[in-house]
Amino acid sequence: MTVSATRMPMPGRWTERRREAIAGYLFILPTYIGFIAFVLGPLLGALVISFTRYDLTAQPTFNGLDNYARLLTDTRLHQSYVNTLVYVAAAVVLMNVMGLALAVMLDRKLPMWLRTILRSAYFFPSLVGLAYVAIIWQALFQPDVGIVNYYLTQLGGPRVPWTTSREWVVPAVVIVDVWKNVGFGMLIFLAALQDVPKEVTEAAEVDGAGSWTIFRRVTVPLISPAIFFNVTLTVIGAFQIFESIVVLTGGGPGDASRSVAMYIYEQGFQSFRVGYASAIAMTLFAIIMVVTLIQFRVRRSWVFHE
Amino acid sequence: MIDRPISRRTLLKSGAATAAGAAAVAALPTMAAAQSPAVPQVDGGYTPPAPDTTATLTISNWGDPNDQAVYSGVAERFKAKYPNVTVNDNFVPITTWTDYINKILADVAAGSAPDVINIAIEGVRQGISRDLFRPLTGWVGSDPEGAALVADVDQRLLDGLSQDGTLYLLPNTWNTMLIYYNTKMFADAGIERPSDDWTWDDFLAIAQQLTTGDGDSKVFGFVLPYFNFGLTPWYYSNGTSQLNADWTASNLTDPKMAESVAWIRDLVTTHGVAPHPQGADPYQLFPAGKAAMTGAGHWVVGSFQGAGFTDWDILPWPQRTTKATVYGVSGFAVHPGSQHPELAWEYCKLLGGLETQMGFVAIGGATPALRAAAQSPEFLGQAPNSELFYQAIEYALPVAAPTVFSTLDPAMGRALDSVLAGSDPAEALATADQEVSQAFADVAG
Amino acid sequence: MSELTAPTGAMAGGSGPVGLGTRVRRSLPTAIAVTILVAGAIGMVAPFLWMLATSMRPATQAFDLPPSWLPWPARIDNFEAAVTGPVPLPRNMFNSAVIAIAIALGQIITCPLAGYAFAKLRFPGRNALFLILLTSLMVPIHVTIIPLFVLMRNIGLVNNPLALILPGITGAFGVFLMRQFFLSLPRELLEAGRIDGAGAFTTYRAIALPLAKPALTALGIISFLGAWNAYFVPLIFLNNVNTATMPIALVLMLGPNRSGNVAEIMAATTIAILPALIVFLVAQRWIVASMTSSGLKG
Repeated sequence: MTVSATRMPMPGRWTERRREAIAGYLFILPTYIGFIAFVLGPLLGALVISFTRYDLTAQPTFNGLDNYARLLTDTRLHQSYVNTLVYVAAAVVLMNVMGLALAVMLDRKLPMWLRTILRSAYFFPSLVGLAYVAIIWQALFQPDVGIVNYYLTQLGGPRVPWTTSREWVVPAVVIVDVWKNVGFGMLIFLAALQDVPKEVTEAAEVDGAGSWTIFRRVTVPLISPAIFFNVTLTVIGAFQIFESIVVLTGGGPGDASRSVAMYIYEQGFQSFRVGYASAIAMTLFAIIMVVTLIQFRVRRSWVFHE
Repeated sequence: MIDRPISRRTLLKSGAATAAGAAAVAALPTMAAAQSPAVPQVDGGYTPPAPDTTATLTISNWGDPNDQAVYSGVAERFKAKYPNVTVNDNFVPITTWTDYINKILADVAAGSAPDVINIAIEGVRQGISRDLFRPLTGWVGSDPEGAALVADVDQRLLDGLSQDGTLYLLPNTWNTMLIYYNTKMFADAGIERPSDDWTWDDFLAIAQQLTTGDGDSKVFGFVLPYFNFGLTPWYYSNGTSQLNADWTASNLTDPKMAESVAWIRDLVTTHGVAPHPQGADPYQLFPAGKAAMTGAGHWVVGSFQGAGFTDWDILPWPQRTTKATVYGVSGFAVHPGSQHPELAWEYCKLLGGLETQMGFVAIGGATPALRAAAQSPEFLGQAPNSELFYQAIEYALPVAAPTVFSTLDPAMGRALDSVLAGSDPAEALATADQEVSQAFADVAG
Repeated sequence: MSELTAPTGAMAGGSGPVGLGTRVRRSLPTAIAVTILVAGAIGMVAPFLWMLATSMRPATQAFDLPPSWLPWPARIDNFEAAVTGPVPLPRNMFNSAVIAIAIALGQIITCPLAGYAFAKLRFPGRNALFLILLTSLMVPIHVTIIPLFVLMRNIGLVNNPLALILPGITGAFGVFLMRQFFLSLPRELLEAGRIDGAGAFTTYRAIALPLAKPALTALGIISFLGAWNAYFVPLIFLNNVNTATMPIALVLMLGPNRSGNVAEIMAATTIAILPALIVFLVAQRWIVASMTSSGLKG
């Protein structure tokens, strides 16, 4: 990035440009130092470590593709990946469908106080740490004395072993995840809905379109940037799900609710198979990267641009 | 759930700490003498560091708040002896053995290894394999104070802290697992105290008889001590173990292991005599009269006293094929990287010394390893049938603690959780077996 | 974008119906919508209410069924027990506060600088550098944590709050947020107020930064809460109860097989959530505004 590349015909402007460019680099310098030291450098470091046998104390020794070969036969990792993909899919679908539904319901003429209270109630959990809310929920999910099962059985439902049965641990984690994050999605959708020009929907109505059609054909395209934003954030976030599972189920029973992030932590910082943990981490990074790039690629085909 | 953080209490349970044995010594006065450890000749060549030495010592301790108070007392006494030494008493209140061992390994990996490590048999082989402990043989051979401490401890406890005849840790306290039962519930139901050779079937029949009520008034016949040390007696009394005899390979695919695990599961599911372990703390439910029996070592005595609960007595663990239970012992080691090994050794001697041991007696916690403490009237007066704690050492086996303990322990935890959630015991154990065998292979490779 | 500079606008204050409102109101009667919304809102708030009620009742009543939702008669012994218990909560809270404040300060210094440069200054490679920076949003912390740990260990920062603060004082998200804001500032505004011959930094300092106060507030709050709530990174770097932060301490309090004292745990959790609640009540409008702007223009 040589400054001379921007050379301009007029010497005065040239200097001004140059000064502006130098300022630009200086302005981004602190951030870029942090980025290189704490993101880019470690990312490359993880790649290197993934080809070694390393326990954090002894010197690492290169072991070629051994760690990557191990990925293929590690059934615990496969289970963790299956769980993680379920979390991602559930988060993307539920968070966005429910967030949008809430936003549509809230986007109407309501008394200001009611509107504020409702919006606050949905939004507040997204500001609270996941570890904290998971601590509350693990008490609520207690099989015999938890209030979730109490109200469930009062309504004639079953007594669900939320955190101890293979069938229910994943739904329990998803419930907490959606409960915590749906308000954020709602907020983004709400703002997008409010930006939809009234004239456009009214014009469609005049043309005789039904409400659902208008919603499908007019509103959704208009708010598609918000949908894209929410989906992207949800995907990246859900691939990293960690603390709620640690608190709710510890990854169990067995590995029934373990996420890839938890498994990386376990292999790296509990079993001290640091090289192997890095190899798993590289697969997680690659998958997030590919999924995000695919999203950006298909974005052109469905996200509306003014 | 076993691989999640487990508390201070569990730590105590799981082997290390505490109190049983004292009374035992009294009951079996000859045994200790007969098994006197082969203490090296003391040459008296050891010179303690000068009292004005300036240094910083970091201690890694664990336990519950009462233990913490005992250890703080040690720090104060050390300060009196060495006023210029700063002591960082890094006390870990809550963890499983695996978490505690991993924490120490993480400290070492982080370049901040403690000078003194308090750890139990669970971490001994793993610690030795990762070079965490400096051999104590030299000091024990040259320092009369150290030699005297070691000479007052049962050989089997020293064995748990040694490898190939080399002692690595100065003993702290020890434990074994026994059945605790509610004497009032037994009497009310007209149940006689079973014989010391009772069987699993006898145990189940009593547990079924004592499982009564519903909802708030539900009382269980038994509540599982659901952690490695507390579950191990079910394997040993069925004539099996998680490992082969010399702890170098997994034995998890032994059908008897699956049988034991199925038995544990059935107590909760088929027979319904025990609550699901999730959220069920045996040491709250039992003294609260919500369970007629549980399993524990001596470490619960203090908390039962504190809760004013006295309607209890102890029994040996019931047997299927073998009369057996588990024991564990903890001790204090000096890290080889310590800048002040002699000071660390002086600290260990205070930690393992009589005054500290009597501190544990006073809180009604672990069984002291020193006979002098275990034979004290203060200790002997604390529990009924106290001699049973110590007699258990005659048929108890050390808790299976291989170099890969921190893989074995969570793998077993996941297997048991899976089985309680409906998995087939043999399949769940086969999964754990793969993992443990892989870990053994990794260590070898 | 108007929300940012005028946070009392439609988004934050909740004025009347716009756009789709009229339309959907016809297909879904307001009464039904409000009923559903209120029912859902109760579900959103209930866990917090239960936490609060449980924190103020004796431990023996923690699991009373049906649950009592009122924290009366309020008792504070659980709070006392929690802060004087074996886990040194006051210390942990102090640790969390130090880390979160340092990170928030760092972010509101570094991020607007970079955000401004990416939005308003022209320099070769600007867009490429911005895009490369944004990719860090796709790098999970779980991927970089091992080399980060080795790095911090080698410079002796394990169990030191700096291990968390240093990587936290700048970040792609904050830069993105601030860039969004500065993009919305008309260039003429900067040009007009510009003192002849003043350098880029003077213009930034004297004109751009003062206008950015609402966005900076939001960024500061978001960074503070992010650090206050973080669990994973502190778990790696702070493996000592005395250096631990609140989330680590709370998870420790859960105890074996989740057998910790529920009333005390809920008291501690209440304390831990308090900053989020205060910030929410005081500064909701700025957070909402900047969050939504990041989404809409993203």
